[in-house]
Amino acid sequence: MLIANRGEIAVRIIYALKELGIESVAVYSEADENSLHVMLANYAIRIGPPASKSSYLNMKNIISAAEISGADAIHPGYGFLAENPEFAEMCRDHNITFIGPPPEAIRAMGDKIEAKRIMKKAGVPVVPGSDDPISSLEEGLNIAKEIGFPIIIKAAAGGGGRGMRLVRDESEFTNAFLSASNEALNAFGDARVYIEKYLEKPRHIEIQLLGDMHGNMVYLGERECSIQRRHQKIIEEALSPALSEEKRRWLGEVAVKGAKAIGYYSAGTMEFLMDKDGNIYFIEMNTRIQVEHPVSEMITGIDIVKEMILIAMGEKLRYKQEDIKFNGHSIEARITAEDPERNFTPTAGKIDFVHKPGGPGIRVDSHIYSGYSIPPYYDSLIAKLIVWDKDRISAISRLKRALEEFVIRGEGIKTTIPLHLKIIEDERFKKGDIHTGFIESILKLDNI
Amino acid sequence: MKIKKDLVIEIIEDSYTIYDPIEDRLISLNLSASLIFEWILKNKEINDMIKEYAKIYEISQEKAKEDIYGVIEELKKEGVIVND
Repeated sequence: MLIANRGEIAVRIIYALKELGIESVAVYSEADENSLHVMLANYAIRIGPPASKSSYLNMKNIISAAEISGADAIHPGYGFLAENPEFAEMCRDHNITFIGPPPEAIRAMGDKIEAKRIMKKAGVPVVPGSDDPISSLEEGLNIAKEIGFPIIIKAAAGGGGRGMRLVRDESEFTNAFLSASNEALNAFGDARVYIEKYLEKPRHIEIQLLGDMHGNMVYLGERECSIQRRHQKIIEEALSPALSEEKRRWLGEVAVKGAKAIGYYSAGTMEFLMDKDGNIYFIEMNTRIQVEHPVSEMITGIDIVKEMILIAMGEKLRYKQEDIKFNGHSIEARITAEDPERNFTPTAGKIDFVHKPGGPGIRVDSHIYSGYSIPPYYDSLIAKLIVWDKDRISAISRLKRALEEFVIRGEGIKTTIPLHLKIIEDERFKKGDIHTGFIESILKLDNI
Repeated sequence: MKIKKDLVIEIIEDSYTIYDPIEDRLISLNLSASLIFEWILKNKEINDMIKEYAKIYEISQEKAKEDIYGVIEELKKEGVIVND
């Protein structure tokens, strides 16, 4: 099997392949010649220069590498080509098994508006709002009143914040609607807008799904991923401290129903936002393995990467929903080579010394080693520190111990370890009182 | 000119990818470079290449010559074509 990826996820997939007795083929760019995945795989093929578009995103070279090496399957990992339906189709055309969902499901979920329509039809709750673009003030006001303020007005034709207005009450509506429409017209040549319920301080909660090609699907509980910075998750945990058992079951069943509606199989994640009143709304589905999958593995004992491979081989799911038990609590800290003191600027260079924490309940998914040079071309994730313990408070305590033990030393190398310590020592975090704006509030209070 | 020995040559989506196992290097050619590479594989005469290339792309023979020699130079640089 060929792994069309790099870094920690390539290493993670190789571990699963080794345990299944399957030979692995690594692909690598010129910048990754000394990467761990290249050393651990049975075979390795250099596919191009450092730039991702010439190497890890070069579909032809990757397919060619699979054919040359005799690999009959490709695991795309996450990022790069993992959610590219053309690549999944290309694999199918070349009789190579794509370790992931069918291209039709990737495509359906790739179009965010279409995904919302499909999920709404399947009975999955979506953020209330207008189904179609609005062009009249009166229609807009009626919808806004119906869904209740605060609402957000968004340009139908574009993004990037242009043509977007937050409206807290009815008195602000007319001005906001007209100026948003005008801005949208100037920016995109289309004055039409959408209206959506504005969720204040929402939590990000997602359901891990696993389904086979025979119509069987289970949910492996939820992950709480509210600790984010600019939509980039920083800390994830399973389970969420905000869901009751009843709500968990309901959300899991809703997610299974939604995924089945698109003929989904393989591992996938349905993402939701939960408002402060506990209402939950679908935002999108990620049709791949997630960075944060280990926390679900830690509490269920299920190896999601191995399951993806077995599912792609046509095997039936080995678990029924009643077999899935949630045990203890797990937290993952994404450690990136970034300097929090310099607005999270990525840092690259040689790591002179690494010491990874150990002891009970500690797992480190990483591709770094002493002497490894972090290339400047790719994502700055260098390690995922995952802890498990019997309950949330014990897991936080274990994470603190492990973060303090983790050493990554090298000239000019900075990491987000101090930020993680700051977050987990915050009383609100300890209480589980978190939302997607939490990091910003921490950074405002204290420059790390 | 001739193609280096022991290369693994694949056609993926109508164009060529070439793997050099000694150098562990994989390069993919675009459609026009693939056409020229195919002609080189078939030992087509350079003058015939120029005429046919100019006809296919509706360009002058002078421009066709420039393009073909450009691709040949690139392939030499990548070690795919070696001198006789």
